[in-house]
Amino acid sequence: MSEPHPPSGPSPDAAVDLASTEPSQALAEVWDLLDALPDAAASPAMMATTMEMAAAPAAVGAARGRATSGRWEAWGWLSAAAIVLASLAIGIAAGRSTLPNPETGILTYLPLVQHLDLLREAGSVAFLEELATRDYPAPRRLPPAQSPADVLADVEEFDAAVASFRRLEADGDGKELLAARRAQVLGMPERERRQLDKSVEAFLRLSASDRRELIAVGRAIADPSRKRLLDAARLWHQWIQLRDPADRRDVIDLGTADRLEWLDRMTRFDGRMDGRDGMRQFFERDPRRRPPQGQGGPEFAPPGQPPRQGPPGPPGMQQRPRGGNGPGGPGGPGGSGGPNPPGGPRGQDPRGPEGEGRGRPPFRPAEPKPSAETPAAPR
Amino acid sequence: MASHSAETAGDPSTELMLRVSDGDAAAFEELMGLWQDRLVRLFLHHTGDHSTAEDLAQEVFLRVYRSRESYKPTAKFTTWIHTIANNVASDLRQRSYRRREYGVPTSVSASSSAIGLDQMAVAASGLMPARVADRTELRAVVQEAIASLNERQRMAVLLAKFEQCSYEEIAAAMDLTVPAVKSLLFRARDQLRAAIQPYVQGDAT
Repeated sequence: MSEPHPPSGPSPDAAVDLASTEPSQALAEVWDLLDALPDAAASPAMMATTMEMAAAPAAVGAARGRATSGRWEAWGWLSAAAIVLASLAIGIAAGRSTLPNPETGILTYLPLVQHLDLLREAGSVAFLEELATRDYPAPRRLPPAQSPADVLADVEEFDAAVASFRRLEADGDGKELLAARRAQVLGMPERERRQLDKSVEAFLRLSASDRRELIAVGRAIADPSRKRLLDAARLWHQWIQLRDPADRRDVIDLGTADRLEWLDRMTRFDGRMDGRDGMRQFFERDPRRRPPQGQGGPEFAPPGQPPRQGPPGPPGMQQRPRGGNGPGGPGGPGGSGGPNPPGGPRGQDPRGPEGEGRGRPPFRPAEPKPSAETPAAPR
Repeated sequence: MASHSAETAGDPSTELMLRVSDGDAAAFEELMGLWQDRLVRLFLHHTGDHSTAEDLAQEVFLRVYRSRESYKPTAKFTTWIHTIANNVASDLRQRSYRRREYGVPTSVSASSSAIGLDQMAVAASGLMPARVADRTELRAVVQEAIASLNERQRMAVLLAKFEQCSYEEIAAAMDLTVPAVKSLLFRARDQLRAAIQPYVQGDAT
């Protein structure tokens, strides 16, 4: 800090002042004047206040020490909590290592997961058992919006699914098998992988009992000793294919009794459509598609012609004998021209509703139920 | 207990401070009894306000107490506590500057110092007739004259007059050299003389 200049300039006796040995000499004449300044004393409370203030930091220091020990205590708790969490994590890891791995489960049942829709379509072993006891015919019509090639592809797909179910039983669930299936999944094209992902999600959403039921269905279909269940599943699949894809779910979700009731109506209706049977014509054109002798039935008869014995059937497509389907029967020439049921699959017939309203009273289906029981309306 | 130097041997304040450093609270109280009036007076003349003086004296004692464990009797306690007092006064000045920057009114001493300078400038110009001041008036004049000094001049004058400090002790307390202290006092004397002269001329005549 620069000192202000004295108001009156340098003192003439500055040398004397600087040579002074005592401050009193330096201050000279003003020294005594400073005695005029008042004396002062501290207030009585100052000492007590100062002592308190001096003691306060010590208390703060003690509190700080307690806080420090509190921090150590907190660290102790944190350490204990960390140990508990670590133990918990180890326990969970150990538990997971002993619990079934979801991925392992999916790989074990990969064939079932891949054909989950087919299994859900079949529904249950109980339904297949019940269906196998009844004598339902195969459908006479092509599924809507499907070409004969589509039908053949569907047949092949069904057979491939059954074959994979059989491998499921044959291969077991060893590590090598799982590794092979894992490699199979990794080697899938992207489109198949996405489809599989959806199936896996659907499989995981199923309840445990539903999963067990579907696994049982897959094993039943794959069991060579229970071929009648495979035939029932195939027949049911053919009928389901007649349903518009958007409405199949309604039928699939039905219980056993309702499914059978729906199938009753469908077979009655299909019998009235025999004169326009595209599926029959399709299978008749190619002898390779005919089922082995004795497996087919006389149900395929061109309109206006008597039915032949042992008509051809597609490989794997169930063709059951239909004793009532002779001339004059529901599927014979005399049955043609009947009206479709209200909302029935008239439009699904690519040939159109020819003969509608000719000669027979309107078809009265069973008591209509919601969409699941009523054949799909034409789009 | 730390050993005494030859300079500090026999100094009661040093003895008390050594006891304080050993955790003797009674010694601290006794030390305060020895010093509080002196410090309050020093700061009163330095700041012009008794309350501020007590606050500053209290701050000195608190600093003494906080430094008790590091205290070494290598110098006189008087010099040490004067150093602390000078530092406290300097801190007050710096705080005053900061408050001024933020628009806070300055301390009483600063404002009174400004007023005193104005009045003394008028007196020195001869516009006010010279007169003999009585004891009360003289006290006020001297107070204003002291307030007109800058901080370091004022502290040096007060240490010299009221603490009977030598040049060396003032230099040590204010971290200055002895010649710097002499120059400081010389200028302070001239300034005080110029401020007080109009009041004492009548008395002289």
